[in-house]
Amino acid sequence: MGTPVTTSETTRAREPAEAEQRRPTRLSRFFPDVSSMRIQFEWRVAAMARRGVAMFEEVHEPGVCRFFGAGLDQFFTQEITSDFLNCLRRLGQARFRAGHASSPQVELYTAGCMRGLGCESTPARYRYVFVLGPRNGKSGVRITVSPSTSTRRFSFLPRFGWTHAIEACYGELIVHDAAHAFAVEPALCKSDSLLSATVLLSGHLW
Amino acid sequence: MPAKTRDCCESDACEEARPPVRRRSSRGPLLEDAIPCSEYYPVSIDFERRSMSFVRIPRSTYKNSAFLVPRHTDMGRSLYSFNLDDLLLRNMSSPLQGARTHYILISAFCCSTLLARFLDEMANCLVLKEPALVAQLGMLRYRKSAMAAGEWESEWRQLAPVCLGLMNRAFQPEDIVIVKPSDIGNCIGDAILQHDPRSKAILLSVKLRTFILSVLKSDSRREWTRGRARFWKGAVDAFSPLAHAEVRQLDDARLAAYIWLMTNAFWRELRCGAAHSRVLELDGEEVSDQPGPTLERVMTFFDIPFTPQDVVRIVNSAATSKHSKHPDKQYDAATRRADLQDWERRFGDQADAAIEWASPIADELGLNDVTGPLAKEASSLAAGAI
Repeated sequence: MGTPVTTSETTRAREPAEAEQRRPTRLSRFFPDVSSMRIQFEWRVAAMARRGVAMFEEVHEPGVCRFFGAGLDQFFTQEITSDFLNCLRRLGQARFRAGHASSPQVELYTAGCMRGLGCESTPARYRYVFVLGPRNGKSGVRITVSPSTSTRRFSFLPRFGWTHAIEACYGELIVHDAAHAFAVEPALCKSDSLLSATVLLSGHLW
Repeated sequence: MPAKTRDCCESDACEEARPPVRRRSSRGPLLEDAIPCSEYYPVSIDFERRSMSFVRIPRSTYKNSAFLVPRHTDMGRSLYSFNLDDLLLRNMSSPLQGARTHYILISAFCCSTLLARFLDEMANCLVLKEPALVAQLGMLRYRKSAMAAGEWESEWRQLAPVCLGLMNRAFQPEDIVIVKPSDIGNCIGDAILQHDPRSKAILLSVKLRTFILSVLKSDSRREWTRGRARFWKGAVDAFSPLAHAEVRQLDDARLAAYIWLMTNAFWRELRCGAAHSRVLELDGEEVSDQPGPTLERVMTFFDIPFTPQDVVRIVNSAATSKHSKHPDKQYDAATRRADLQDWERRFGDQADAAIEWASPIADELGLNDVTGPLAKEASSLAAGAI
């Protein structure tokens, strides 16, 4: 289990104590087999690209979000998936009293992709995001978490209260309250190559 | 990953790859596709690995199988495993809404497979005979867990609706599902009736004496009984009169009585509970001796639409003249009666002794306060009539 990372995080809060309480949890060395996982991802992407097989489904709502989604089992072996989920469960149990972990969706963000601020509808208590790429990016993906009940459609409206903007890096896990809104701004990337894209594994804990 | 993998990823072909826009499941069905579909039949829960596995079987396999478990039935070569937590989360978000589902809870050796075969003959009935998942759910309820008892019960209470929801699925909207779990299912009767207020349960058994004789007739049944007694003894200490029984010192006849009493102890809670109006007791002997009236009674209780012609057709079908679990063998009510007389002659003394041992325990469990075939037996015990 890794140690919390606090660098490159900006917090604006009306009530600092409350903001602190709601601060997303960050772990930089959460999953020891992150390299193997990344290699499996790359290997599958390459193999499928050579065969011309489609892997991702585009999720696109103009002005709200655009990214590519896929199921976990298309990229990873059952063993590493199981290890990943077990790590999540152990973390969830120890830190959040939440020993259940849903399988993540693989989300891929290439040039022009984004996810506006909004909530997901889920009965789970927490949402997690694991950064699996880009592998070599100095500045990682920016994930914003904010208290909100609004939908992504109204994400252009000004927000009140605290906001956490997190520059997350390769191999980092972020856990936040699932009731909070979140946004994803991928790492600056002019290419739409899959290997330099931002790859997030996101799911839920409860 | 082998070195070749790295080479692939660093190749130009990979760098040139662009995100396609279509999702394809390469290793099996998606959870969302599998869960509502009865062809994906759940066969096991691995609680340690947090997974649930499914096979893909057609409706004909449901009908032809006497035991819907991979050990007894050809269920193909592919096993599709899902993260158990994904199923739990899905059920929390949108609980499985399925067909009207009723249960036949059994004591074992009580003509339950014959009754299930009868119901199989009704086109609008989907009959699940001894599904492994229900038995596993029962076993998990009494699992020795590192969690505190309340915590485990809470975990089990999340799992139960998922498993029982999967039993509610049907092939056609007008289907009525009939689930006949193995005897382990008796320990979750309360959860079954709580899960769906539309569900009803038949408690199907035979008299204690018949049960003991049915066990003693074969080595395999004796072996089954020993294993079952060990399981219940290790798992359940809720019924104090039975908790004191030293199963290791009991002979096979008494072990049979022990299991029969355990079954009835579970059922007593259903007979007396809030859902008692959704419970019907039935003597298994009536299934083979008076199939027509018994079948009518069962279908009426389960609200299964039928005509008198349906009953005649079913009673005259091959189900009545063949062994339920081995359809290649001829077997009918007359053969069964002859068998019972033979068992009585061979094992009657052992049955007498076991019933004498069981009598005070039945009294303590309050089994003589209720009505029905099992209660008649318990009342007889109390009156010293046997």
